[in-house]
Amino acid sequence: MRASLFVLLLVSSGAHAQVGFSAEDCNPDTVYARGPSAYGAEWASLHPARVVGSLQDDIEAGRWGPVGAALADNFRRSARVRGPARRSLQSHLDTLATELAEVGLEAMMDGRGVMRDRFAYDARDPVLFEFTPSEIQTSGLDPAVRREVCWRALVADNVLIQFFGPARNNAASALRDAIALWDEFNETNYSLYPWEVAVNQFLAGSQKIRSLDDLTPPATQLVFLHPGVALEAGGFGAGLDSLRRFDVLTLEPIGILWYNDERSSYMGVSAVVTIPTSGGPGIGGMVHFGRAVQVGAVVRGGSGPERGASIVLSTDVFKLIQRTPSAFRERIADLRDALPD
Amino acid sequence: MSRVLFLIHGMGVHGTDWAQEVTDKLGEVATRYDRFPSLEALQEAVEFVPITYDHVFKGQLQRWADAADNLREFTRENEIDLGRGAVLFDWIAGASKEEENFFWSHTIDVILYHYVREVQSQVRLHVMHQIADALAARETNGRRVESSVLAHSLGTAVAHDSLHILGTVPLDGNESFLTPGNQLFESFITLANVSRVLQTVANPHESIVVPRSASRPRGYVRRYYNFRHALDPIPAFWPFGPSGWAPKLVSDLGLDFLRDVNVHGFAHYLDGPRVHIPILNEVVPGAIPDDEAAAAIAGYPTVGGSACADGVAELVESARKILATIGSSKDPKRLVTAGAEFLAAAESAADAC
Repeated sequence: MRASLFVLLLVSSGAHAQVGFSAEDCNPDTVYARGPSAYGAEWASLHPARVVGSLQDDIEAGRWGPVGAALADNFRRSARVRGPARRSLQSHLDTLATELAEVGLEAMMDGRGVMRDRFAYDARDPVLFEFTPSEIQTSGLDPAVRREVCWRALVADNVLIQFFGPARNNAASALRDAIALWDEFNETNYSLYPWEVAVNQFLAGSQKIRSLDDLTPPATQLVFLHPGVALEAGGFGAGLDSLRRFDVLTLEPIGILWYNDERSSYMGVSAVVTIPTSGGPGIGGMVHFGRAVQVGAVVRGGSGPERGASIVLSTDVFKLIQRTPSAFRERIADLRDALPD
Repeated sequence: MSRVLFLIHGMGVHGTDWAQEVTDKLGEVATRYDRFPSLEALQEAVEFVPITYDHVFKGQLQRWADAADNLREFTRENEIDLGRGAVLFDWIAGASKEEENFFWSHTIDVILYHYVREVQSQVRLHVMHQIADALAARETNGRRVESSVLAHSLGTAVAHDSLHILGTVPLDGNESFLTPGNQLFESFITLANVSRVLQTVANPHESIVVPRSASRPRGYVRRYYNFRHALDPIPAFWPFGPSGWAPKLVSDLGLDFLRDVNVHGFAHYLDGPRVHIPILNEVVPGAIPDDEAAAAIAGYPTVGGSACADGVAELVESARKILATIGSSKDPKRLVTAGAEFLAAAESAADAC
């Protein structure tokens, strides 16, 4: 009877040799590559791939509470691991079960309330729960105990990596969105010359990075000594026949712009000085609506044809030329045709 | 478990294929050892993931250059006289002529990164995103990714700052990369480390990018490597040199081999066995046994490769002069000028060969 039972055990343990105990039992590459069957019937049911597979339906359905409870309860029924290693592993599995049971959907999507690396294993040292009071040096364990401890840790680690999948994708997505905001800002902002960058940065003061918002484009922008070019139409006082067009260089000494949340547009006001090729400067103000067109009014003294009030149509010149050179030039040509020299 | 080595470049022009030179060099040095009969053997053991951020510098310089160019063009077409202002725009327009000198092609990157917050933010976001995205994409089926970072020159500061933010700042409430407990990089490997002199977000001796230990439970890395060439003046400014990190810190600050007159180069650093053996053993544990490593180091001549005697003599003289002027300088501006001086000297020495 005993002999036949022994034969039966041999048969059930598989025809090929089982993998013996070694430090490789804690190496996930080796353990997963060999698969459950390589370890024989006694160990196959504990193999990480087999255990995770049995939990996969709950994992994919997001039923994290039952998953955590299964890991903790299953180990509680095992008798092989004893002493400090048992207390340590059980404690961490119980804590994991509590964390997973209490987590809500929103917290799950942000990875809050659960410690992802609780079961991360340092194969070089080799140690589990490093730098905690419940640290386990796996090299000092009985080989069979080491295998069970490492495998249960591998299962818990696998569950945690899967749990954090959506949160990590969301984190990457948040960073991608922040970059997209900069792309939009760089494409559409009122251009900043180097000295304007310096002044804006100086005014913003030192900036602690406390959230992703602190890495996104500024919502306000100071305009400072900003050069540009504009078309100026003047001579309104003496009727339409006296209207004149001037090509002018503009300088906005100071101004402020406010951006929308998407950094796709802005509005603001600035002071402006216009400098024609001849005659005195015009002084006035401009309003900015969006990316390309600014409208303003200036007053010029003197006795020449440019004197009096004028309308200024400016553009954020290099942005517009860069984006729509033909449209810009056509617009200039239209305006020129409409106004007498 | 898959292994990933993030490669982070330094200053200079780096296109999308910038890492080819680095991976080629790592492959070449790996095949000097029995464990790696071919480059493929290394690539099977570890995946190289290049991180690129140079386009942020290029974009900023291009916008300023366009501003100047287009304004000048418009004023010329419309016969508007810019007067003395033209001088300013000529100067800015030079920003796009990267190939003309090392200031515009290399050390301007340091200025933009260290002093211009808008550039800083974008660079860090790109680096954080590329790392986060790569990890998220590879952590499928619950398998852990063992990740390390290999950074060079300016990239050491960029990598340090980016990891510090990634590990300390919730991303729209997302805590999945925060330390302690949610992310731990196996190693942080630095070549020509400038993270201390360029520190802005945190002191690299006290940030989270330190080896995790009982006294530093928020440490974001398990092990830290710091390599510096004795003739390289760039990491000599306020050099990185923490205390109390042993045995999790490996420092080799007296590298003296010369395979190329540009001793600051990423690939040049990797050529030395005192550098690449620890790196290969880090990313592929136990790849090079101690006896094989010792033989490789002993058999590696100090001077060789493309470094000729005349060039070496010229470089050594120039490098020593620059190093002598550095003293105990902590000034990033001086780093910029000394960096440009050194790179120009290296080019001159290369011409002598």
